[in-house]
Amino acid sequence: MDSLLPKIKTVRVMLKDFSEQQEAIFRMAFKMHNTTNYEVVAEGSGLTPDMVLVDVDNGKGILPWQEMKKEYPDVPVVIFSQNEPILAAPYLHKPVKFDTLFPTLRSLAQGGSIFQPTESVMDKNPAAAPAQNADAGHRKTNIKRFNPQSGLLGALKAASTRSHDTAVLHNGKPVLIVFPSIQRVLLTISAEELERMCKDDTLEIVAKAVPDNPQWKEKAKVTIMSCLWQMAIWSAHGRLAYPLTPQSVFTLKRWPNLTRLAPVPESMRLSAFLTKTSVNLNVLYKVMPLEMSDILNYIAATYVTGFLATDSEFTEQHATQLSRTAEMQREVSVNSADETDKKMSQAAERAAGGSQEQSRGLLSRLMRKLTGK
Amino acid sequence: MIENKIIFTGPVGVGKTTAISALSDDPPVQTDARASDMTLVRKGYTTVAMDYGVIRLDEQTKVHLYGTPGQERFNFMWEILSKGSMGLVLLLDNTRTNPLKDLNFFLEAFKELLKTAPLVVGVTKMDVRSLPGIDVYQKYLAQHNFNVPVFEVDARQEDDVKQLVSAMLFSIDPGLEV
Repeated sequence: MDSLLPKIKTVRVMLKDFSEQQEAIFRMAFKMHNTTNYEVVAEGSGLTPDMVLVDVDNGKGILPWQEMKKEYPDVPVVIFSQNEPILAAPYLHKPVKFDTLFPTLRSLAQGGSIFQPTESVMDKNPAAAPAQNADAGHRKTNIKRFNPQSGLLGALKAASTRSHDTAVLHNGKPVLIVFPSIQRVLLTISAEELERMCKDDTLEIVAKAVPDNPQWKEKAKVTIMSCLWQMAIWSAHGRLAYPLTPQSVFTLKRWPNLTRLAPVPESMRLSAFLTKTSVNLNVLYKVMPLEMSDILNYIAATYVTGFLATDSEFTEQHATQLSRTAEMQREVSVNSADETDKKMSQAAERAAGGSQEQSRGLLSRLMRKLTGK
Repeated sequence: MIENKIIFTGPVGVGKTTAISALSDDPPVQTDARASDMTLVRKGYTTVAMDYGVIRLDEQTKVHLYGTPGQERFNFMWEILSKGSMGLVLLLDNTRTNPLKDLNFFLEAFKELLKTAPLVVGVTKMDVRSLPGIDVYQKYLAQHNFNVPVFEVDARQEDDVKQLVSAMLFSIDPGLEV
């Protein structure tokens, strides 16, 4: 099983129009930094950067920055200058200070650290239109949804609650045989084939009661819990489990047994956070700088296995009724700038902030040691 | 004051010494002696004072790993060792007669520490005996107002032990930058 220990992330940075000396300083700083692997990518290398820093103090003005914005529209393109920019843009102040460089780079990579010029600056330069809208600095994305009550996942979930043993079939052939009395599942296909079937929203399956068969039970090695967990991750593949919405409030009832379940990136962090506080997806997206697909796969796994407690807006019965209708909003928007619940947001930020008594530096270093050992 | 130490505790033969060995940068110091009592049935030797290991973060910074002796007659050591600890790793042996009784015993023994420090629970030898299951331990802990990581672990597996300690670190600070 892949380790759940955090993996060191690589961020590719392009340094545009940097002097030799400036570039050398950044390269040295990147080499000394251990928590994230910052890699300098050259122009013309064919590699797409995760972030572009543009030095605008070399006489060419804002033009190189605008060119980079056009060339890399989907990544943060940062103005690196000793002067504050005259327009709203991601900004890194020159000269850099090493103690704030990496927190700032991290914020920039996540779409933050947007400099907003003051009104007086804007008045002097009326032609300087804001480069980004007022939501700049917040994370916003559209996400798709899936129905965990349908398909293979729904069939396994339903079979696990029955009093008799059930075979789940596709095209007349058994895929799973579920034994609720011993909480085990017998898989009759390969893991790869199971994954493919989980990802097929149109898969037609039939569930059929089967007579007691001790030989089958003897061969059933996989627990229902671990099977549900893995199949939820595959079925979700980066989508939000219906009927949850970005406004649904949730928390973790208890920690999943993560050492014996399929790995989900950041599941340890999310488990620690969600056992401390209740949040909705908008707030979680704001407070935890994680990939949305990882968050959604984790939510799917914990929701389907019963570890996630959600608000009473959608009861199981309601969800069952809704699942029978054709209407399910397939795509919804997540916006970390949504401040309909400021108290929730503040509580979440406190929970994510950690203990005041423990030095974050020491904990980070210990975690890196565990990761790198 | 929080010191840079993590305490490993649990009943005799659960794997505390093994777990510390899995993490320690230096070969752990073990103070073993031939067991004279029922411990002999479980294993031939036992820790009589404590196990000690260390994780070196740099030349000046270490995290000390202390394994408490498992037998009750050494419980006077537990409070001394655990004072100011950053967290408690409780290992339980699923093959023992009454592991829930063990759990209750150690929650009581470390009651003061657990008012401020995080707890993580590792249940060993579940491959030998699968019941009680993890959910049973969690329900028991919930009744005592603990909502903490409870993982099935093999103390011989470095990855399992590291995940237990990682869970403890994230419990202290979910926003921990890695």
